[in-house]
Amino acid sequence: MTRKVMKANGKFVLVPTSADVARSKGMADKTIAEDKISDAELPGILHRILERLDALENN
Amino acid sequence: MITVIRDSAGNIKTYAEHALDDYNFAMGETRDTVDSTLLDYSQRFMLQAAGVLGQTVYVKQGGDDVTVGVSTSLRMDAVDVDINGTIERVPLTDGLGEIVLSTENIGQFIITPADRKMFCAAGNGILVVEVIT
Repeated sequence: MTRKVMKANGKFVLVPTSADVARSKGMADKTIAEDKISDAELPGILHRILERLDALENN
Repeated sequence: MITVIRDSAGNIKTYAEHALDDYNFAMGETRDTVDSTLLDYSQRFMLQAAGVLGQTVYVKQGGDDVTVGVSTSLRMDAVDVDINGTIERVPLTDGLGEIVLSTENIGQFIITPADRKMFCAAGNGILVVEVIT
């Protein structure tokens, strides 16, 4: 699927998908998950996992 | 003489320096001729990055910006370029202009002429720049 682009500061930039954003935090999420996940962190991690699963299913 | 094949919407699909008599037309396709050479016709609209034309250019995420050269042999002050569906008017000086692509995010930039009735979006008229990790 073609990515959207936006122009910022005279340059064209690919607009990242929500899955891209989630993927970019994957390593950090793994590190957090090695210990006890706090109640504040859990919803964000689950959301990012679901975004990545959605992207997999829709590819 | 150049033979130009157009799709049912009038967009240039392909062209060749012969009559294409044996071309198998799809529904609605048409053929017309232009008094030109293949080289001249191919220079009506060209895109290049890092000296590469008509091929995919791979660049690393977070690397230098990619400058895409836009050129036309026609007398025009500006030309409209399609970048992943976004139309950008590129000013031309002596037939040359440029756009700059960021390598901040991964994915593909697909650059073609916006006016497909005037220019062919194939060969040197299309450029893919893929930002990879």
